[in-house]
Amino acid sequence: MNSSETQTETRQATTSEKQFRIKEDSFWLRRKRDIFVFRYLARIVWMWLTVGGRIRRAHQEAKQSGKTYYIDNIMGGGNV
Amino acid sequence: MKPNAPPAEYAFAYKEMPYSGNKINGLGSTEKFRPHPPFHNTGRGSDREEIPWAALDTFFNMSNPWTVFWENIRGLWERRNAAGPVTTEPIEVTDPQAISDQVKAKAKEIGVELIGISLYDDDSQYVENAFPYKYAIMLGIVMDREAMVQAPHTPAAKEVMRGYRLGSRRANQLAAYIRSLGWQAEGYGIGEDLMQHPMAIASGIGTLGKHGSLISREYGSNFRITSVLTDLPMAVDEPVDFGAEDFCRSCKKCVTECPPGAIFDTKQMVRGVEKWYVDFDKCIFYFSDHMGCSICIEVCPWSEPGRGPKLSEKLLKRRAEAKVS
Repeated sequence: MNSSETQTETRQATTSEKQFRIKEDSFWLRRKRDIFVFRYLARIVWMWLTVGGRIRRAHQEAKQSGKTYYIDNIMGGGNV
Repeated sequence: MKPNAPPAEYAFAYKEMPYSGNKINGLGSTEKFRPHPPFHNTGRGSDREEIPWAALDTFFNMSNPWTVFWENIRGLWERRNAAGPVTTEPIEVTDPQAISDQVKAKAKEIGVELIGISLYDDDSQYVENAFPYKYAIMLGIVMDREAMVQAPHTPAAKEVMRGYRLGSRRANQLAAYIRSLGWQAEGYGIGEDLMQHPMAIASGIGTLGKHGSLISREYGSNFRITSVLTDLPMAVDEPVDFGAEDFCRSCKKCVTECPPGAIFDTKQMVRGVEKWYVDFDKCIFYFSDHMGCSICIEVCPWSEPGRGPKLSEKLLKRRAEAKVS
């Protein structure tokens, strides 16, 4: 068994990886993949607009006030 | 320091610092091991929480301006075409060199400036990562110099993301071409788990520079790397030596221009190998605060258009003369 085969067993592809990479010759699977990717990206754009907006504002306020914006809990908005 | 570069002062911080990225990377360690990814790691999907510096990565992604962020989204959209079906019988390969030449010609035809082929090796990858292929085709996509000289500001960051997006597209096109020959192939571009530097060095598209990025003879560090993994049997290329190593030993441009002072002037022991290394814990805050920075690759003398080949000629001549005397 070569190194590739042994290592592949140690880490299974995540769901998102499997859904991104369609190797079957199927029109409908590819459309399903496109919808999955579109939704995945739409979610990231939504995050940039909402959570991202809060992060950018908090960072800007910290810059102006001379305080520090703590990013440890960034998905919860962080703390200034 | 570069005149228009903001100083390394940050209005953000960790209350509790994550485990040192340098330790994760194996700085100072004489033991050979495969590291965990400390920062970017989109491909891990649900495992993302395990990335030690994930909060800073989120800060980086979310604080990018819209134009840079949008280029990233467009690049990720390209990823959907990275794999596909193989619907024909594989062509018989009797002359791997001829196949290499054919693949390289195709890559040039679709707009790839730098191309090299190496063997794929699990040992060059992050721990637990493996890709079931034998060969790696490494592609270098040259970036627009006028945009890059504006690093660490928005035009350069946008150009970096554009480079990755174009690179992802070219990699997918080349992978589709190989699949049309009946051999499985997948493109690896933006947001992937594949560690590409070691294979890029092995494929001869460049050598590792003092600033931790690749230097190519023709384009310096002014390019982005993407790749195609495949089982199509091909002749592999060799690492190159065009004098950049000699040059980096005496040049301090990236060291002095780096605002957080993250670039070591001497080689460091990293996972059992002495090599050029950038201090992750210093670099990553400036990198995240300034859209990926890119100052070091922009100020590198090899990145000046047309200068690389002349430098190479001069350095190799000097080396030959030193050997004779």
